Parts: sequence; C-alpha cells; structure tokens
Amino acid sequence: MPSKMTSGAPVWAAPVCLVLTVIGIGLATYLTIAHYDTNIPLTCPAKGAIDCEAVTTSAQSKVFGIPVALLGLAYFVGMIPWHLPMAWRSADPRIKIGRLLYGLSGIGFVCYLVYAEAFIIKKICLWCTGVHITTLVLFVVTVFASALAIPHDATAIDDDDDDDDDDDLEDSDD
Amino acid sequence: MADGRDDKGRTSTKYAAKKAATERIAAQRAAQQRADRKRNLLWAGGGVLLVIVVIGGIVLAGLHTKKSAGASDVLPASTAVSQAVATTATSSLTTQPDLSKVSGPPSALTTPALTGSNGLPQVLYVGAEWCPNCGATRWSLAVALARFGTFSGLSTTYSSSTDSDPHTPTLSFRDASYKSSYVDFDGKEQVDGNNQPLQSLTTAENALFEKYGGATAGTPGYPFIDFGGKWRQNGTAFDPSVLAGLTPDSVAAQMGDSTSKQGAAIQASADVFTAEICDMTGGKPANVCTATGVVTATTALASLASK
Repeated sequence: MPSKMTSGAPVWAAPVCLVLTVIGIGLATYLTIAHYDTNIPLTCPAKGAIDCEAVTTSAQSKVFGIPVALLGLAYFVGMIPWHLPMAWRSADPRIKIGRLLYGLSGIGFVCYLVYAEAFIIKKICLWCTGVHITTLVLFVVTVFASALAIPHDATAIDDDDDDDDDDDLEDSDD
Repeated sequence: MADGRDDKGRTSTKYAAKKAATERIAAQRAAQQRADRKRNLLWAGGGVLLVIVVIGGIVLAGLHTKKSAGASDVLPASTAVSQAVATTATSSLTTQPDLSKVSGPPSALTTPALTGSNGLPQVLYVGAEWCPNCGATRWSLAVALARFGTFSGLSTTYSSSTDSDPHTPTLSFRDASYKSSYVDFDGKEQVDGNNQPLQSLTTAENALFEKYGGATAGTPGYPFIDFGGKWRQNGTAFDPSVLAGLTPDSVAAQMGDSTSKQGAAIQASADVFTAEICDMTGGKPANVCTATGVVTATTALASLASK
C-alpha cells in the first residue's frame, strides 16, 4: 500500500481557525466600511480612554497611505487558504511554517497597533481591540494545533488509534 | 466447522506474533509522538507566553504612563500639520466666519505695545501645555499669525488627560520660530504638561500678564494673548470639546474644511484674531485685512468685545 503522509493535526484545527478567521473578516470589514463611508458611524462609546473615532481617524490609522482596517481585512482573507482542512491535513512542512509565519506577522502588526493606541494616540478602539484579540486567539490556536501535529504515515499502523489496529487484524482474519 | 476452527487457530497464532510486534512498534511510535508533542507544546506555550507578555507589557506601560503623568509627549509637528496651518491661513480668508463658534471675549486694551527685537509690534501668547483652553486657542492663533508670516518649529501635543476637556490635541509654541514683516510673535509656554516651569516671561511681559492675565486666587489665567496693547484674549478662543477624541493630524485634516465643526471653530476665531492683528498693523497686508472673513470679524469685533 503506498504511504500517505498526513500532518497529524487535530481535527478541530481547521474549523476553529476558519471560524476565527471569519470573525476577523467581519470585524475588519466593518472597520473598513466605516473608514471609507463616514456616514456609517462606529458604534462605540467615547468615554475616558475609549474612543474609536480618535483611533480610526488618527495618523496611525494608515500605513504607507493604506488604511489599517483594509490591511486587516486583507490579512484575514489571506488567512483562509492557510486554514482550509486540506492545508491542515498536508504534511508539507512549508505549509506549517508558512502558516505560523503568517500568523506571527499579524501578531507583530498587532503589537505595533497596540503600541500606537497606548503611547501615541492614547485612546483605545474597542472594535480594533476585537480584531487584535481575534488575531491573538487565532495565532494561539494555530501554534498549539501545529504543536500537536506530528506528521505520520496514515497507512502505517498507528498506536494512536488502537481500534484501527484491531480492525486491520480482524480484516486479515476475514 | 472443525476445519474452520483449526484455520482460525492457526491464523490466530500466526497473527499473535505479528500483533505483538506491531504493538511494540506502535508503542514505540506512540511514545516518540508523545515526546514530540510534549516538546512542541512546551515550545508553543513558551512562544505564546512571550507574545502575551509583550502585548500585555505594552498595554500596561501605556496605562501606567497615562495614570502617572497625565501629560503627553511634545513632538515636532508633522508635515501635514504644518502645511495645514499655512494652507488654512490663506484658503479660509474668503470664507464667511460663523462667529457663533467664537468664545472669548476679546477685550480692547490701551497699553503700549510690546515690541520684538525687530521693532515690530508684538503678539504675546502666554499659556501652559497642560491647559485645554490653550489647546484650542493655539490652533486659531497659529492660523491667524500664518496670514502675516511663517512659522517653523511648531510642535504638537495634547492637554492634560486629567483636566477638563482631557487630552485636547494641540500645537505647542515652545520651540516655534516666527518670521513676519508686519508683527513679532512671542509664544511662551510657561509650564509643560506636568505643570513644571518651561519658559520664562520677560519683566515687561510678566508685568502685562500680571495686570491683564486674569489670574484668580493664585491661578494663572491661561491662555492670555496681548495683541500689541490694543486687544487681549483671556481664555479659550472656542469650545475645546469640538476637538475631543482627535489627534493633531486629524485636526489638521479638518481645519481647512469650514463645514466641519473643527474647521468652522478654528477659522472663525482665527478671523477674529486676524482682525485684531490687522488693528496692530494698520490694515497691512491689505489682501489679508480686507479679506471677506476678516472684514466680517472686524465689523463684529466691537460687539464681541462688549459681550
């Protein structure tokens, strides 16, 4: 029987990550629309340190002239292929490393944006924080799912699933 | 049936050894996988912990900075801010000001004009970087003065985050230079955002500030502006709350738009300040002092002063 290598990633990895990606897309889409259409206000209290408008209209709301909200949307859309079940099943180490590096780039950007909110703008945008938390949780899930993924030959007898072994023997018995 | 049982027995014996071997191999593989997973999880946990510590550290440091000081950094004004001041100074001259946005009141003075080293009559500004009313007023004053000359070295900052109208985005005159053929300008930020002494007044400036600064019960009257001994401004030029939640750059983006609440307030009070400076310069330059907005402000100045 030809060998068939799989990533050994947990079965929950793809659906959980895709759900988080969709949440990220939703939040980033809302922020992007609000950025371009000023008739759509951000539902956000402006009290104390919390002020979405101050953050989304700040100089830091654009990077190289590109709205950060649009970059966030592009990031989450670009995340989809990495989290498809097919990608999670693949034993290709380039996919695993690429997925982790992609997530890490998002975390790096989140660190910059949190720094900008805390030290430059001195205001916090709740919707942006939602995106940051989604990015962080997605990264954490990706990291742990990747850690649990030990590539193995799916056609080989795997002690992880003793029932399969028994089935093999029983099949042989037959 | 018996043959079937014998076959079954032989098969069982044959596969018993195979099963034992595969179980040994499987157990070894499982142990190896468990070890790999354990190692990977330790690395993953460490990496995630590091990321959370970095982000948490940034947030906590930001919160601590705000709580401990209430003051903001004073940074060189961005190109966008400097350009917006200069651009608004000229582009808004033909706009009819909405004088209902102007606070004050400006008052007439009859004292000798302070003069700069160039002998020109001086506009003296005295303020504090923590002061929210100064925060609003600086925008209008900078726009008005930019109609008579050019600024360099403007800074941007925010008023105190623990005062009324907290964290009002503003300019600072602490490092600013001003060149004009018509007036001299001396912008003094007496104290910084932490209420620490920053710039001293000359004896003549201090005497004027003491007399007309509007200090009450030992509290300096910020902001105070003397327009060549002809007019004075005590207090804010407009309501600082219109700048709430904005950054200096976003104020700059709005100030040229007279249909925005920020642009309307800044431009209208800049027109009033311009009218007062025109009174100092004898109506020079004409293109500024006869501009639509300035003429309207000049006409209204008397009634504004008497409010």
